[in-house]
Amino acid sequence: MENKYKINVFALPSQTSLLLFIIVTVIIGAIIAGSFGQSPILIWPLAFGLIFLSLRSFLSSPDNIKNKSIKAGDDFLVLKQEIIKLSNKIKLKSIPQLLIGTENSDIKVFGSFRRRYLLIPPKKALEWQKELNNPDKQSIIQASLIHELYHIKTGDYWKTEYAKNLLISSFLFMLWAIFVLSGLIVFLQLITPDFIQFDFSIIIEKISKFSPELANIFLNKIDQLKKLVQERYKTTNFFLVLHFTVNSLLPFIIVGFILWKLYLKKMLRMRELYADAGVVNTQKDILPIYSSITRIPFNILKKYPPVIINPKSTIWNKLKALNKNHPDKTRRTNSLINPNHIFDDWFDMAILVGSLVLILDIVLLGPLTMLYIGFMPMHFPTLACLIIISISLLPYIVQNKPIFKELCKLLAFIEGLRLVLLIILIGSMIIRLFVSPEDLNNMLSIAVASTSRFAGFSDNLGYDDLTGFLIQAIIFNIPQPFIMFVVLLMSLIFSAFITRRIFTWYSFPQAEKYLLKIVYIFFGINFLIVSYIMIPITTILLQTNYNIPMFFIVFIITIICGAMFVYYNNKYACYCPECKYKINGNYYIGKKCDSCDKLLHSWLIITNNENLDSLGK
Amino acid sequence: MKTFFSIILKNKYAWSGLCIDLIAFFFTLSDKNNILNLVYLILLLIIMLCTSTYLIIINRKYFTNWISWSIPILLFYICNLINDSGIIIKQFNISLFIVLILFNSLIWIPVTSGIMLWYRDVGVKIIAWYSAIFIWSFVAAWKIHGNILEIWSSSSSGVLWWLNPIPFFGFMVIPLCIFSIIRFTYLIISEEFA
Repeated sequence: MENKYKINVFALPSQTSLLLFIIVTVIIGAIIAGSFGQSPILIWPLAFGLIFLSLRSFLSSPDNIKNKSIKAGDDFLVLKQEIIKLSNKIKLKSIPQLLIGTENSDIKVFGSFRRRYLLIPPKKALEWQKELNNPDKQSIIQASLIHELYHIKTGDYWKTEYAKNLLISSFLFMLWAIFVLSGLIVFLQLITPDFIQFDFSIIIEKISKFSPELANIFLNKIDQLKKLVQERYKTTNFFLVLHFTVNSLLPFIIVGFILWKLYLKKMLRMRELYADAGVVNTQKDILPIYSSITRIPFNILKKYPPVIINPKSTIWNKLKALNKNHPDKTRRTNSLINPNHIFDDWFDMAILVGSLVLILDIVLLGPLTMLYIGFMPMHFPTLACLIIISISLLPYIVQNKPIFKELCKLLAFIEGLRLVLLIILIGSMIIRLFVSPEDLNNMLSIAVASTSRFAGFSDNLGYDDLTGFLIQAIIFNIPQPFIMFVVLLMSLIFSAFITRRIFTWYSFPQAEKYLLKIVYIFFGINFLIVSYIMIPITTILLQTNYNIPMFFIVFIITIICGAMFVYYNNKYACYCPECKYKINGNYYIGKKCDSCDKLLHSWLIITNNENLDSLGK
Repeated sequence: MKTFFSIILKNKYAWSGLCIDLIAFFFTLSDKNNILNLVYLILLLIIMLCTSTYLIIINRKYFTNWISWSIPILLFYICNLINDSGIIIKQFNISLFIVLILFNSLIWIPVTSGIMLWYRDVGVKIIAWYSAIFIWSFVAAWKIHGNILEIWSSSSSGVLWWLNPIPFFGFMVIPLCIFSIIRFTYLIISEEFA
């Protein structure tokens, strides 16, 4: 039986914000990180270009739709007034401008940071305006309007638009950069020998007819330039420059595709579910929005309340659903009845986090960021995993759901994916070792040069003992997914335990404001513990250098924070904020004080009415 | 068709001037040493330039699409090709006409590009495509013909008839693109904070 108290999804971290953060950090973070330090080509102009073009494209995107529609006039006064009323009801900071589109337009909210528009096709706008006076239809129309307005309240309308523009700009810009830069490198390689040997006397003769002084200056400059070019030409391996360029920029194209397919589409689906939840929060009733989604008449729904539908979904159907821009109706309606359905199950989470790990492996092992990752490239994706999963577990924790089995499946999938990738990479190198060791040596030399941003000539790039290198690579890399599985499992179980304890601090002052912030601070501490204590200890046999000062600093921070945790836990845990009665057990949505019946952490719950109460029974 | 006739009727004087001018070219004598002939030609060139540019500006809304924008470029390219490639045209008036179009297109290209870039935010696209075509054209030219510097400094630059227009186009259009990007960026930001 479903819990009659429904989780307030807006009290927990926004999934769309998290997804946007991931997209922006991966793309822009990587290019900015790569801008520092020496490299065969200048990266910072590319970073600037990408940020500028993506922002510019995003800010101008509303004009593409706005120019094809008209501002709603006085014919739609009633509708405009309704929009103003509802905007005030949900406490919108600014009211969107109503635009009337074409017959083929969809109803949508669009805009940029400061501009907000609500687009409605003309027929729909007239219909809604008319039906607003009909008491049977009024709440349904209001539900549709609140749904759109909630995209503005949560900011989802600009987050998805910016993410889309960033991914498109990144794809096109990097493709262009690869094409043009490789052309430039090939061109420089072709012209340099000819330039050095070219006799400029014909040109100088022509100039000297106009101005002998200018001809002299030109002659000196040309001689200096030729010497410089000759020196650089001798020490530059153009093939390595080309390899660096393609290797640095190609990951953005591959990763951009994965982010588009998995993350952007997920953002688009999640925002609809959040908007639906916003309607329920505002109207305190799911029937109007349910009727709007399913087209089932309101009076029928009143007679036959909706129930949760549990369709049997195969893995193939789940994978197909990942490609959709809209959540399917079943998920939408189930999420209305029980907002838990907004949050991912372990399979969806595994795809999301697993793909993030893959993305980070592609990006971080490239020339732009490899120098930052250093000796243990698996750590960064592991830490990213830790943060994402910790945040994603919050809905399960506040409902006191068991997580051990799901965590094991999730982590097994993620680390299994990495293990498969490693086996493929190392396997292909082993095959190459037997088939063509010179090719392997060449390939590794180029990889070393690329990741160390070297584009000259050196005998030290190659490997004398390829077999020894591969054995070392196997010993170094293959145990890591298993180690990271254990590290993540232990740290996430620890994280869940501490988070559950923090949620029993019922009498913490202004818990609705500060409790989640304390949880996030704990996630940060956990991040440091895993980075500087757990991973170094568990990989002690694989690595020989780790950061001892940071180990002690983090150890001290852990002791201090641990002491603070114990203090606050003793002071606030398991005490009713009203009557100070001792409440045992973990927190769950809808838990009440046994003594005074006070609803604990009411900020995590949607305030109910009859319609909501009757659902799911 | 209706639109085409209405354009002509609207600017009938300019169109008439242009047509008379073009017809007058075919009555030009082939005597290059005649000063009067030269003055006559220059006058006709100026009239053609002024009337055609005026017509483009007056009917600028038809020059905001890629097809209209590319017509002067194509004309420039074709005329340059005929001029540089050494093709011999026996009729003096036709070869004069080709040179005429070549000169005029040097003005038409920046005018149509200016119109396009004023009304549409396509500066970034043009720069992107141009830079890609520019660099790979030069790579191809160097690969096929060898040292281009030697060819350009000799009298056999006609061999690069297909390459020569490209830098010219860049000089004419790229500064306009940069101005357009700055202008539209300013407009976008003003709209955002309006």
